Amino acid sequence: MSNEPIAGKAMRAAERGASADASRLVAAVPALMHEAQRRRAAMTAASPALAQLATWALPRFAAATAMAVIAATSFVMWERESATTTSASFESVILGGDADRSDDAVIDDLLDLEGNDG
Amino acid sequence: MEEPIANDRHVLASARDGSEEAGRRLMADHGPSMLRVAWHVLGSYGGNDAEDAVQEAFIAALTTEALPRGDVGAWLRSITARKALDALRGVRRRLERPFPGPGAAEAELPAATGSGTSIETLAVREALARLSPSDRAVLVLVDLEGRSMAEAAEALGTTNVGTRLRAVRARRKLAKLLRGGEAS
Repeated sequence: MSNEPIAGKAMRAAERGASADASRLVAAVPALMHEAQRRRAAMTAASPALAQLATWALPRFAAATAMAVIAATSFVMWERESATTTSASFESVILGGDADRSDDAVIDDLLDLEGNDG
Repeated sequence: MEEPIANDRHVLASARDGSEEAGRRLMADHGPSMLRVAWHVLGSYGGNDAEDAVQEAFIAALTTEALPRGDVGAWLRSITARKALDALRGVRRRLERPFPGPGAAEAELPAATGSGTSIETLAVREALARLSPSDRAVLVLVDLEGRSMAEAAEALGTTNVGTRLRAVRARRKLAKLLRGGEAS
């Protein structure tokens, strides 16, 4: 069974005995309209200031973002290049066996250990 | 002499342009139903808080550039529900106390407990007061006002799915409370 009608009925029942007298609200209308006018004027005044701030800040944000992207891309490229170099050194040491020392201290130690054991 | 006002949209536009007659007419026509919506969301049937919410809604309606797509009254009531919720959240933040709990409806409203208010009405108010204000706001817009879930979600600044879930849970909880059970 759906409970959907219950809420509407309950709310109508809850309203009974309470008077929705809007006379005070109607009397307050001139003051409310004055306040609305004041807020609209404040919003209009705030818009040029916001536009000025955006004009100043947005190009700077864009430049900073571009520099961050360039720096991040450069870092990633450099990292990939280093990884490739390390891999090449590792392969040359393991497969070629023609290098006494690699550029990697850990690999050198491992090779030394193997040499000692063998 | 102000030009004749054809309908609610023209009344609203005229009020925005500064016509006090239009403003008064708008409030006279829709103020009572806006008050009722504020009562339900606030969980208090009378008092100044509901009037404050209606006044804030009225100012917001005159401040914004947007015109309602449909019924002006329904639009005003949606704004009122949102303002009433905002008022409760503001009170909670300022005073660091929970929303009005069970019994608050009567405690805050001596006028509402007068001779015109039956025991049954008080019991229903008590049950409604046990729902959260957000639950009540959804139920007001969907079940009392007949708005769609999407419209209620838009009015309350929530998602469609969230509003639907809240409505289902709130209806179940209210049904249980009205049957005399203790809703969790």
